[in-house]
Amino acid sequence: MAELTIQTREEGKVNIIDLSGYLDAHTAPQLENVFNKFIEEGKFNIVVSFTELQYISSAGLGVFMAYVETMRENNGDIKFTNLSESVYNIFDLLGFPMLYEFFKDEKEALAKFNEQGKN
Amino acid sequence: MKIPFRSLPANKRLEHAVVLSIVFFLFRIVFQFTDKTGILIANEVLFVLTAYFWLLYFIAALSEKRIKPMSIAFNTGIIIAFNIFVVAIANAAVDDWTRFTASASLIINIIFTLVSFIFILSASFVLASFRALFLLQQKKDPRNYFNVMLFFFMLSMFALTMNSFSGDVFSFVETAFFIVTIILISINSLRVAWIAFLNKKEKITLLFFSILLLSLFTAILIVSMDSDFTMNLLGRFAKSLPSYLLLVNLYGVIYFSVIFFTTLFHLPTAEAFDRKAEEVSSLIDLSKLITRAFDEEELLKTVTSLSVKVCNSDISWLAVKTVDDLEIRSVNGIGFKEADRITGMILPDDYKSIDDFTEVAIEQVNQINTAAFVPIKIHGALIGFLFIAKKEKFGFDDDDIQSIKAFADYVAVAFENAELIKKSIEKERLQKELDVAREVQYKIVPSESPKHKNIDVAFGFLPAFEVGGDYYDFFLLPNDKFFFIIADVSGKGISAAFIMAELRGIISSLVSVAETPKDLLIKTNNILKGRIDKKSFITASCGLLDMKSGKMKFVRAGHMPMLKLSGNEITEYAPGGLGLAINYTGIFDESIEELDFQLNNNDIVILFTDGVTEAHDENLNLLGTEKLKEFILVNPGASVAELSSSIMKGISEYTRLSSQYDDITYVLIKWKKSI
Repeated sequence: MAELTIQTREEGKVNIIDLSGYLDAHTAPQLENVFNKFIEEGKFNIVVSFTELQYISSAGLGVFMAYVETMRENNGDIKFTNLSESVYNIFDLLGFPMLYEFFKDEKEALAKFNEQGKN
Repeated sequence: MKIPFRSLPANKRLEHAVVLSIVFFLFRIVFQFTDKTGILIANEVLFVLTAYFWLLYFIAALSEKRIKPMSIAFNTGIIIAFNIFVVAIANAAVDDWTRFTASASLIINIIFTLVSFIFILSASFVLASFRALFLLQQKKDPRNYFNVMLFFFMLSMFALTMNSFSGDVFSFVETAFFIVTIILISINSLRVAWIAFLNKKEKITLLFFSILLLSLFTAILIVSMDSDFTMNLLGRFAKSLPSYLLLVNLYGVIYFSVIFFTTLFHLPTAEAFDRKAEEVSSLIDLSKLITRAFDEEELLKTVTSLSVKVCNSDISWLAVKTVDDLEIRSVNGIGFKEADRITGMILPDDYKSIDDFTEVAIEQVNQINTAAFVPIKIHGALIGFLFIAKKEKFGFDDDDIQSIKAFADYVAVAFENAELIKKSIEKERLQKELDVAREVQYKIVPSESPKHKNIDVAFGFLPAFEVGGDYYDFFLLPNDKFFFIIADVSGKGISAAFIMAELRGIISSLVSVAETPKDLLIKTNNILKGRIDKKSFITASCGLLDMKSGKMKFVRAGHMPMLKLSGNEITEYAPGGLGLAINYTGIFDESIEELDFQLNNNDIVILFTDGVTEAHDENLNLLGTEKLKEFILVNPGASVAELSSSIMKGISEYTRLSSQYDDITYVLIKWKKSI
């Protein structure tokens, strides 16, 4: 079965998740654990970087849906960056860009968080 | 050496014995005072046969059931006591036996004969009892030794009888046979291995029993040997009878002396023997448990109750490792709270590194003075500790330690088995769940295409092993309207199947009231609010076709694009639309974009789920929309049925070396203009 590798970084008050591999029903619980830990630690500003992600299934998309509300209730957000065309198409077909912020570059996402912080 | 008539069954032996007894009895009455040699010899033969068949019968009777040595010894004691009683009464009643027997009347003679029979039966029973005891707990078959001894019994009796006919001419022969018989009796008496297998209590009882029986046999030997009663009454009855009784009683004296001393010497080790026996039996219990480890609670309970037995402790409890702590799961002879408290007291903080049996002396906690624990490990990984505790101050000896360590290994294996069983049950349960989900799915989706002169419909539906939650449906509505939908519930298994069933209910009830497909999706989304898990969502595409005019309205809620085949040209349509059950604010309503088409004659509308385009080959390369278009364009003028088989063939060829991961569903609708 295809694998998913998750790495996390901290960039100021923003936490970045780097995903690589396959995000599907079998690997989704791994990502859920990462989000649960962030919520426990009070970290609500999340950027998910998809640079290395090859595939996302509906169960993978469900993970973001499940957690974005909690982040937003705590004045945070989940923002998406560095999506390959095929992965972005999946988000796009579902209409996610209407609800979530997508960026080509990680810096833009970080800048957006900092900008919000000033307000 | 085989004894005669040994192949007779028990009931036949009894029959023979009874018949012989009656014959002998009549013979005695008839030839009471005859001194002819022929009659006397016949008398002896009849006696030997009678005694022998009674012996045979008692041997059979005593080997029929599992005999208990204690009850045999008890019965023997009663019989001997009764014999002594008879002898005592007889001696007290008659002063001069020589005169008395010589002048006896018929009635008295009958009584004498019956008394003699009592002694024959008693002696034969006692001898059979000795044989039964003799055969207890013997590894090899020792029956030959006993049979040889019986043979010498006969020879001694024969020699004795011969002497009484011919003066003491054969005296030395008689003495020789007698000595050999005594030696054989002594040798056979040494076979008392069964004593070792009695428990302590039984050994003590046996010790008293053997003293009692030894006294009884000695007493009867003294009162009957050479007494007037024996010589005159029994000796007159049959010359060999006194010697038969003498030998049997001698056997009794020797045998019970041996039993007495053996039991005496076994007593000090009796307790140790009992303990070993208990250890063995508790290990057997546990090995049974290993194979029956279906009930975890039962397993835990048995572990603590057996560990008390195994190492001679008073109290035991079992602590099982949880994620970052230990949890008391089973106790014996102590409460959970107390066990937890003592565990905290005696177990060091770095318990994870404990590798061996550890004993701790503690001061009077709950009457406990010594406690010890042993780790339970599966393949080197710690799963818990088994605690044992004693009220006595002196701790556990080497034997206890060895036993509890061996026991801990057994416990580890039992736990591992229980875990494996749990996993396989879980797996089976999951399998059943998937079967149910698949069944639900098959019942929900239509199995036949709708029939109408203006449309041809074909579809392909291939549920994955782990049921994906794909759904499609068709509705022929009034005024030649045709509604079609394809949807994909996120997630898998039974939960996806249930959401799918719910969706079908919603669609079926809305399809006749919704004004447009867009209206239907908005209403569906509103109904789904709060009914679906946050993580789940549904993508759907649906359309309403006016079959007369070919006018069609189409909407998409996060689903894969629609394809339209016109001639040999495929166009992709993906009007805006958020997936269902993702957002319940106005954003969803606004996002849905309704497309209006005018279909041309023979145009084909193609809907599919992502299971089609995300089907992958062995290298996980996805099939993609372009490949799907290729399958369709192989034969653009074909019927929908032919197109469907072309698509199915294309997919199965592409995925032939990999396994199907998601449901594969597609729907083809061809519009035919009425002429």
